[in-house]
Amino acid sequence: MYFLLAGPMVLAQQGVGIGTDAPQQALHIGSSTGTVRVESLNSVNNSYNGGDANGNMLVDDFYPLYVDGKGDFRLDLEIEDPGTGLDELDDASLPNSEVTITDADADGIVTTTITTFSVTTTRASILEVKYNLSFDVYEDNVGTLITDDLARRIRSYLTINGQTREYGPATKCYSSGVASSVAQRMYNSSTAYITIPAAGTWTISLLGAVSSDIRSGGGPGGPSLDTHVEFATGDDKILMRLH
Amino acid sequence: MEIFKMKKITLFLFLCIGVLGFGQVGIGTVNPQQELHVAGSNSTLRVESLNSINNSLNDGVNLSPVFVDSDGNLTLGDQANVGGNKPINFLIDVGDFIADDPYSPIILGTGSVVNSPLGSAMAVDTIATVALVVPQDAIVEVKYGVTLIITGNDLTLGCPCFYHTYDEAITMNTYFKVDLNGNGVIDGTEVTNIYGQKGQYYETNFGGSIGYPYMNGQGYLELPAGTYTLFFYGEVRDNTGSYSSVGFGGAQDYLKIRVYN
Repeated sequence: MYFLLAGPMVLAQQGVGIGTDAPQQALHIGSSTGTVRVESLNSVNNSYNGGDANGNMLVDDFYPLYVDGKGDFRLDLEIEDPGTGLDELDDASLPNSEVTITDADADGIVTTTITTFSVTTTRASILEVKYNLSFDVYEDNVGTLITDDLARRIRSYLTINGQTREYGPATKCYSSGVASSVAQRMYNSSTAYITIPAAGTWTISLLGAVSSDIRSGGGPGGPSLDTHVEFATGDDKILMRLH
Repeated sequence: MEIFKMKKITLFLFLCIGVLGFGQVGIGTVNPQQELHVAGSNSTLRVESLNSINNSLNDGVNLSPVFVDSDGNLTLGDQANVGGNKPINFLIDVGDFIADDPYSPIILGTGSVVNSPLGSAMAVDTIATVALVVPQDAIVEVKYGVTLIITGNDLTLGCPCFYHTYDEAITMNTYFKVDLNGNGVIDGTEVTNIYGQKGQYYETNFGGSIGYPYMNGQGYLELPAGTYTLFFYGEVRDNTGSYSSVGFGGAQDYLKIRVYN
């Protein structure tokens, strides 16, 4: 008996039942009301258990349970990018964060890939992405303000592996009629759930686009309007979580 | 015979746990690495109180997420869900967190006004403060929507209201900062830690509307358990030769804050 108290207890049979004579799993709790209690996960011992969060003195607040790579229970959330950095997209280090359209543009829209992210999965997954993307709008790349009072459309969206399907699209318009206008700082923000069909390494692209012509998309209209959009000029955030 | 053996082992296990106690238990392993270690590539736990027969939150078809309550018990949630939070733990859920008419008796729906007067290219001010208790170490999700109303004269004085300078674009931003040290002000590194940015522009000619577009912002930040104050800001950028008055939150806005997990 002393040996059992001092050393680890080993139960090597096929299954252990508590409240059942016929365990169907390695550990089987055969009770209609009983469950498993792990004190290292309770609010006293685990800072990721918020306890009585709603303050009603009842045990009725619940915290999602995860397992880590070893199979151990965990309450803390580890995600690919929590999006809590101060500025996750720095335009100074993104050579393609600006996009320009001219009056000679044929289809009335110009798109740029602002940045890309690589995501590796071991199974089919859903990638949750939330982003806040800043942008400024000018007539040209030296910061001339727009004065023609005609609307421009500024878009942002995500793609996977360069496919045509757009995720998380967000669009804003901008117009200005006088040179005393302000051209910064607007934001597109959106949430996307991107389907990742299988295990592998996948490229997620964040794209920005400007269109300045009512002919954009194939309809009738006049020539494009000179427009220059600078993305990621402010504090930008991206959260990514794999489900 | 096999069943008989299991009965004996089960009884022995019960006695050891309930009466004597021991250090670590291995099932399928002679080298347990945790207090209870279930080894085996296909082995797991089965808890009948969580199955579809005993628990209405398990529909028997779809996978049910498992949660832990404050005692450390594995659960599917509060079946009755009376007086408790659902598994998505909202810390704050308010439908109109900025007063519509703080400059009473003016009844106009101005919200909290930020004026950028003549000579100013940018004005920023606090439009709301919200106390927040974070019960656990967490990524905190903040979602908010704020309405805007834009005029060319001081909204706090009421109408008549005039358009902002015709054809001149101005921009408006909303964001929040967090008082981390509880001193009641935003200072030190709190000044540059900005979250939930959102921005849009406004420009009109005769006959346009002065309100209420929405700003829908989202922000994520990592916080240890504690009590904090969120400071929401409204920012207005315009030409120095123009007067811009923007009311933030004069119509129904919203704020939802939850533990993101």
